[in-house]
Amino acid sequence: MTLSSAKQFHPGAWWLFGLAIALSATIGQNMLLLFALCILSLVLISSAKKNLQPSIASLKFYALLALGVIATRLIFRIVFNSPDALDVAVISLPTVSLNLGFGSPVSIFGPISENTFQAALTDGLRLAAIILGIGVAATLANPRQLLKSTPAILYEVATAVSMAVNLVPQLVTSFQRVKQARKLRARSKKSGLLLGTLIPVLEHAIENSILLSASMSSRGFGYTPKGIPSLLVGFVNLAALGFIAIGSFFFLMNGISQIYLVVIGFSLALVSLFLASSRSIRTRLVKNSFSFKDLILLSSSISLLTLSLVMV
Amino acid sequence: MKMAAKFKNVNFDFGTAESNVLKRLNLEFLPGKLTLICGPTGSGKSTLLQLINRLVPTFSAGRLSGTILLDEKEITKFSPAQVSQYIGYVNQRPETFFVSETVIEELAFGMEQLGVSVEEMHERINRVAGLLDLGSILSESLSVLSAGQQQKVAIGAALAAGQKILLLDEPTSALDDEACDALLKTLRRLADVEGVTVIIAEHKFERLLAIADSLVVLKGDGSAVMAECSREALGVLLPTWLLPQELNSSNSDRSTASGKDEIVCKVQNLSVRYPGAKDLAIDKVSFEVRANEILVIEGLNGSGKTSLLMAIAEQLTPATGTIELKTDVAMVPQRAADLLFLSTVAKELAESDAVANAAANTTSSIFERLVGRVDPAIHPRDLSSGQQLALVLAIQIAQGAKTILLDEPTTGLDVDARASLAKQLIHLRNQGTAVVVATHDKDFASQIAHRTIRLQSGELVQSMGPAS
Repeated sequence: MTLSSAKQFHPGAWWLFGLAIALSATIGQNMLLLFALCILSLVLISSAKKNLQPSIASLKFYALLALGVIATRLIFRIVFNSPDALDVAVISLPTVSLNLGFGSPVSIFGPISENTFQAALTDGLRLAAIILGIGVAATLANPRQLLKSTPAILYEVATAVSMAVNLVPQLVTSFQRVKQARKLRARSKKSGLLLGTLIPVLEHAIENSILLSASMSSRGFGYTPKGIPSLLVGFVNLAALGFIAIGSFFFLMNGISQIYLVVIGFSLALVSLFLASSRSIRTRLVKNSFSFKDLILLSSSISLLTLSLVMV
Repeated sequence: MKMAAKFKNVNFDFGTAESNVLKRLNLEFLPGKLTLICGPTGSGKSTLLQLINRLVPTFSAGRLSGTILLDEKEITKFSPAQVSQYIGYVNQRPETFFVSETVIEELAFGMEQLGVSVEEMHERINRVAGLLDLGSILSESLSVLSAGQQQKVAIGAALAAGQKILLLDEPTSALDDEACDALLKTLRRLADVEGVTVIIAEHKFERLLAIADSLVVLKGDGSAVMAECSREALGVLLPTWLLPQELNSSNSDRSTASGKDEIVCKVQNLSVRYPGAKDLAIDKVSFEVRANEILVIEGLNGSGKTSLLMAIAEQLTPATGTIELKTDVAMVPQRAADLLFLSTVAKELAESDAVANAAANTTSSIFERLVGRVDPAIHPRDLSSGQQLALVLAIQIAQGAKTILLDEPTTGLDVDARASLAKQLIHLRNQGTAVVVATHDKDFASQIAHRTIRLQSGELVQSMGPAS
């Protein structure tokens, strides 16, 4: 209860860690590193507990998703292959030339070299690791706890945020519910995966996400009493966004000398965060602040990023 | 500190081709008064409540015209979050409306948003926990609670937040008698002592008639009438078939029970424990079910009724004990609609025939016998709760199960639908199907039960019948 939830990691810390995994995967070129990131993520996801039970459902969901991504990447690479004359073919597939009726003919298949195969696998693993990294965050950081820690500035979009943050965990729950229903009612073969499972799961998940945000609103989530007019906050936000966008453009064009525009943008964002927070009247029954444990998670995130930078 | 809600010539529709959901409503809900909203299923009771706290049309879309006032302020410019400082709301299906993981967090959520101090929060949580008997489950996860407990938590959360207007959508549907009495007393006191405006939409309004001040009757065609609450007023305003009535015909049916009474299900020394739970959900229960009876399993919320049915339906693995089944068993769960997944009633019926290897229209003729003709082209979601239940029941019967288990089948059913369900079940039993019903609804139980067993904290405490 109150004590045990205080002992948990801060949901924000898990999100930072999950993003660190995703970022490391983006930078990483080494197949082994990517594979290790996938395994690490899966182990973390499997450690998540729901109602005191390991949530096997989430693990299955993410493991299947990751395998699906890798398989899709490999298949795409085999089908839309651009063979390199210098490479030695491992599997020799005939090249098929398709005339689509416009442009030049497209050739698919063709001999597949070890390099092609390796590149496709690395790409697949990278995508899988990114997805799993987000999966770690979504599974371990209780999304509802995270919502409660949402800075007041996001209140303006609180409804959208609450729907988005909850969709994936909701998918897992909906899947379990549909599975339970399937056990209670026999199905014909005709009611395949799409009709019998996929559509009901999506229906459930989307409906429940909307219900959740309706519920949160009806109970005051996003409520701010009169104070700093939201028009002012909105204006500062817009200015911040403008400075960051234009600043980034000049920074990328002209180098570090133009960075001050970006700095102004971020400062404005902070000001708007402060303005909006000052309007918030929220109180918390159990404070959910960063603790020593969260620092460990943060430092591991940093080490992970450093490691993948070194290994590039 | 008090607040009234007023409807002036309000029309609302969901923007579909159908006629208005609500037409020309002129209603006034006064502080310190308790108003009961009743009407047939689908007459717009929930929509009316959600118009007051802005969930409709904010989350539903639709066209709203006319004026809705909170005191003298027009509310159409406000968001649900903004009116939440004045209005507490309990949804019909609490489990879909939970925003937290544990009971205590859920109770605190509304107060946190409204800026109640931590000390005050603890005090109010203790008060509602005492009132609704939630003290022992404060640290539990919401998803492991029974439907009745979940409903109590949802009500507790609204009471704790302490707003001036309280909207309750079917708040007693999953509550047992004790909890229901406690809730109604509390609501009456809130109205009398603190001047709260209480508005309740309820199918099972018999109990509420005694404590409500006024009545809003939705006629089913979108129009509504408001009157002082009395049985007479209700008699004039409501179609007769919706009025509370005795179902005596079933009693005579029951006494003529005859034929074989072989045992179809024998439960011996059954215990069930959920992984990670410290207490047994079912503790050494033994009983049997006969081919020719309706067995009712009674018990308070959280006493293990659902777990027992799930174990018989082979959805839970017993920790100890055995269950011997002589026939196929099918279960109609509390959320029966979960079992429906196709886009029209016709497709559901055809799917059922296909699975059962039965002749075409087998399921549809069972379904028709249960609830009469229903347009086969409509989406199962748009059926009333009673029709959904009957559809699932028909599907399960068509599969040839001779033992049917029903979990809280009366939740969300109006008087008429409950009476019709009772007839259906008695008919089933007369045809030799064993029927096991878990319910906290004592009236319904007394209408159908051939024999009753009672669970308390997972233990069998009483076995009664056969009824004389």
